[in-house]
Amino acid sequence: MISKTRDITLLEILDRALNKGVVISGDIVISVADVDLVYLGLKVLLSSVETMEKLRGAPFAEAG
Amino acid sequence: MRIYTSCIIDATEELNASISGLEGASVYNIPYNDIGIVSSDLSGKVVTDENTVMTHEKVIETLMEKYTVLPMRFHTVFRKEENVILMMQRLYDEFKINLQRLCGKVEIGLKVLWNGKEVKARIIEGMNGDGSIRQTNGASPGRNLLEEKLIEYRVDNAFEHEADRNIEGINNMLNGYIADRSYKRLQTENLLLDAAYLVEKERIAHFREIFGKIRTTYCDFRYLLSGPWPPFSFVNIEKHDYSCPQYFFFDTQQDIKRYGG
Repeated sequence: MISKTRDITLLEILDRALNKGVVISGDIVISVADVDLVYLGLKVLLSSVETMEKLRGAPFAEAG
Repeated sequence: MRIYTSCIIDATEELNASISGLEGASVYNIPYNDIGIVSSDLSGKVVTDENTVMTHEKVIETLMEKYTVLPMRFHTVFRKEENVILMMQRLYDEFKINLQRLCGKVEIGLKVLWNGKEVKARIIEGMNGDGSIRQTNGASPGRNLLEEKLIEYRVDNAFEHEADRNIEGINNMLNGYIADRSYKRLQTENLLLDAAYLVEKERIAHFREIFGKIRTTYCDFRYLLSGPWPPFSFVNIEKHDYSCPQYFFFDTQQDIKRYGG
């Protein structure tokens, strides 16, 4: 069972840290490509809060 | 030794607090003019797992307590300090403008869920009641198909209108308490609103208070309020096309392939 708070926190962080902020690429190109690939996978999960609900099997609630 | 960058701050001073970044390395400030970029040395390849993302965020959140921060996107790495300075030199003006705009402010996230199926069912019920949906029994298959498409179109329109109405209501309630907002509506049928609000630190309590009223007013919805976060969603840096061969900006996977990534 995933910790509810940690799960939500991680999803919220990923949603921000992987796609927002100062979005420029450093000069380690391969690493950047890796992140983009990871991000593509994560995006599927992040695109739906409902998915998170189903995974957790509990009612959606306020986290903060 | 490569340089992992965490965030831009509005200070050139050395960091007092001992903050650990990726690989447990100490983070330090690289000053440029009157701002700085908080970085740490990186010996290996960044493992993109839960812990590293959390560490990235934790460093920025720690700094946010004392400074105005522009969070770097996770995994922004440079080969050497000279390249970091070059980037700072070229984007200094934009960093400065963003730092001034975001000074004293934080981001608060709000996700609002409704039951999309129920909302649509209510819309269809209403349309049946007022005669908007005509019965087509006995009509040709082609006519039936057209009628079905028309009904679907009308229901979708009404659904989106209902979403806009509710979002406007929520945003209106928050208007006096925020400095800026960024949101997406109906990313899924049930995810009515996925929003980030820029809030002055002193007004966080007020924001939470009005959020309580929103929950009461729109009591059928479910909510996820999160934060305060570093203002990830409100950093506005335009991407530039640099001719310097040592410094590329990649927009797409195609660009990465083109330049030999």
